[in-house]
Amino acid sequence: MKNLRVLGTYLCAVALIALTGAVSTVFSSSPTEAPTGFSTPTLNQNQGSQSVSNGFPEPQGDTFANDQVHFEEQDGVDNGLGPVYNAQSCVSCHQNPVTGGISQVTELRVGHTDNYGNFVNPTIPINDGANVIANRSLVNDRAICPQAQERTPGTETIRTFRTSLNTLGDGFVEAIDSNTLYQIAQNQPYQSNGYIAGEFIQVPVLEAPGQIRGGRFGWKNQMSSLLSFSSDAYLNEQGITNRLNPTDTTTVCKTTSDPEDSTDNLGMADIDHFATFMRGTKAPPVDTALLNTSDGQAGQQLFSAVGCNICHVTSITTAPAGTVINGGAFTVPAALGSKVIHPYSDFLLHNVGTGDGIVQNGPPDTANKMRTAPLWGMRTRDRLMHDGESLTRNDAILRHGGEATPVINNYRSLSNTQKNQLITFLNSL
Amino acid sequence: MKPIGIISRLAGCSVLLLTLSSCSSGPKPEHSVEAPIAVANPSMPPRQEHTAQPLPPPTLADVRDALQRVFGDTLATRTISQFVVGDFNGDQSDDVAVTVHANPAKLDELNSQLANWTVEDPGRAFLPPQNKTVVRLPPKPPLELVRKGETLVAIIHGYGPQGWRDPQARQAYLLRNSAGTRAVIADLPRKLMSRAGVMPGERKVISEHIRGRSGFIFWTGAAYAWQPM
Repeated sequence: MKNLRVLGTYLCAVALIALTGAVSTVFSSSPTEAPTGFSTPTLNQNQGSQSVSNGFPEPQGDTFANDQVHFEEQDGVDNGLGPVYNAQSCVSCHQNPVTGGISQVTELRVGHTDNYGNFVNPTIPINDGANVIANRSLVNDRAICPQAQERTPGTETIRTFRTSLNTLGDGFVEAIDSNTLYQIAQNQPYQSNGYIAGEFIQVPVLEAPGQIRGGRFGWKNQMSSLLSFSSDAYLNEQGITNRLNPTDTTTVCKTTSDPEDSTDNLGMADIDHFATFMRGTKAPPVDTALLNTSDGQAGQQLFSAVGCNICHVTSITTAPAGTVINGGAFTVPAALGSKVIHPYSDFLLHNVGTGDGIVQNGPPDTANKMRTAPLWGMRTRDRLMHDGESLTRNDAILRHGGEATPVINNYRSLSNTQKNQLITFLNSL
Repeated sequence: MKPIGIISRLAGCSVLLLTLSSCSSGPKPEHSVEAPIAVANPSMPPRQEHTAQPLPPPTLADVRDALQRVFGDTLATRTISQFVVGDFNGDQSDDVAVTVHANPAKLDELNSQLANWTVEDPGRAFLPPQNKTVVRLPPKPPLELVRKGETLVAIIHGYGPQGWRDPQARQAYLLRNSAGTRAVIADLPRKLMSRAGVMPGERKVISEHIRGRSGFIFWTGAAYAWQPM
C-alpha cells in the first residue's frame, strides 16, 4: 500500500512537471519583452568582462566578451587600416554610454546632381590627381599617408554630415520580418489622412548573393543585415577589406593583401564577431524613474495623441524563433525571436524636410528622405537629427516638416506645460 | 486511504501524463522563411487635394494673416511693409520672408525655449569650411534671444500648393541681424553652391544689403545662413 502511495505521488509529480513544461512552452511562443540594459561597459582592461548579453547563442568557443573585444579592437596599418578611413575601431564611433552606443562623431557625405536633378556620386582625386576614388558618397576624413587623403572638390555641391548611429539592440531590429515593416508602411497613409507614407526599400544581403531584404540599418536604410553592415563599415569606415567587400577603396599607399580581415582559430572573421556582438546586445533601456513621473506618463500619452507614434512606432514584435531571414543566411534564435521591442521607429524612409540629397541603395526618390530615427536611447544623445545640428528637443521637433507637418502642428498647438511633458517623456527614452 | 482511491488517482495522473505526452510529441511546426516582398507604393486613401490653380498675388493682408497664425501677437504686424516670396528650402512650396518688429510686451514668449519658431542669427550659422580635409562640428552656438526694439526677418515655410498661405504652414524662423535693404529674391548663385551647397534642388535666396554689405540669406538644410558677396 505504501509503495502504491509513493508511486501515485511520484506519477502526479511527473505529471505536474510535464504540465509546467507544457505551459511554459505555450508561453514561450507568445511574444515577450526584449531584455534591455546598457550592459556593455567600455573597459580599459579585461574588455567585455562585465558585459551581459541578451542570451544570443554564441558560436562554439566564442564568448560575448570576446566579440566585444573585437568590436573595441584598435586596427593599425599593419593589419589593413586604410588607405582611407574614419576611425581605428568600431567603438570609436559607437560607444556612448557603453560599447555599441552612439557618439558625437559625424561622417561627411558629398555628391552633386546632374542636369536632370539626379544625384551623382563624387569622383574625388587623390595623390595629386594621379588616382581617383569614385562611386561612393562617403568622404573619409583620414588616410594612412598624405597621398591618399581625400579632399572634397568644390564641384560636389551636396554636402552633409551624418551622426553615428546606435547599434545596441540591433539584433532585435535585424530579427523584424520585412513584412512587418512593409505593413507599417502600408498602414501609415490611413493613420495620417494620407499625409504620411514611409518608403520601404529592399537592399542586397551581402552574405546571401542575389537575395534582397527590407533595409533597416543606416540613415538611408542602406543595409538589411548586421553582417552586411559590419562588412560595409569595416571597409568604408576603417578601410579593412573582408570576404564580403574584398576590394579596397584605393591602393595608394596600400601594403597589405586582400582580404585583410582573416578568420581566427574559431573560424570567425572580425566581421562575424562584430555582427555577433551587436546581435547579443540588449535593447536600450528607458529611464523608468523619469518615465513613471506624472509628467513622463502624460508626455507618453501626448506622444501618441499628437501622432508622433505614426512614424516613431512604439512597439514592434520580432519574427518568431526559427524564422529564416537575411536571404537564408540567418535563423532567428530564441533569444531574438518573438520579442517585443520599443524602438520608436518604423525603420522606413520619410521626407520630413531634412533630407540631405544623398542617394545610396534606394531609388532616386530617396534623395531627400531619411530613416526615422529610432528614439530608444535618445537620452544619451545631445546633438539631434541626422546631421547633429539640432541642439534641443524642441528645435529637433520643429525642424520636422514635409510629411510630418500635420503632426508637428499638433505639437505646436500644445501648451508649454504639455510640451514639457512630452519632452520629459523623450528624455526618459 | 483505500486501494480504489489510490488506483483512481494513479489512473487520473496517467491519463494527464499521456495527454501531455501526446501533445509534446506532435510534429514540430515548420520554420517560416522571410520572403522578398513585391513592393508597391503605399496605397494612399482619397484625400482632398488643392487644385493646382495659380495663386493670386500675395497681399499685405495675406502676410499679416500668416504672421498672426504662426506668431500670434508676439510680433508688431501693423507696420510691416516689406516681404518677399520664394521657395527658400527647395521643397517646391512657396515661403515668405517679412521684416518685422518684436512686440515689446511679448519678449518672454518670443524667446521661450518652447516657442513654435526658431530664433537664429544667420551670420553665425555653421557652414562646412572649404578646402578642409577634416571637418568637426563647431561648439554649440550661444543662445539667440530677441532684444527689445529689434528688427527681425520672419520666415514661414510653405506647405503644399498653397505654400505659406496654407493653414498648415507653421514652420517658422526669426532671423536676427538680417533685416536689410533692397531685398529681392534670386536664384541660388553657383558661387554660393560651391561655398555652402548642402541641399540640391531649386532653392531661392534672399539677396539684400545688410549694414552696407550685399549678400545672400539662404537655407542650409538645417538653418538660415548669411553669405556676404
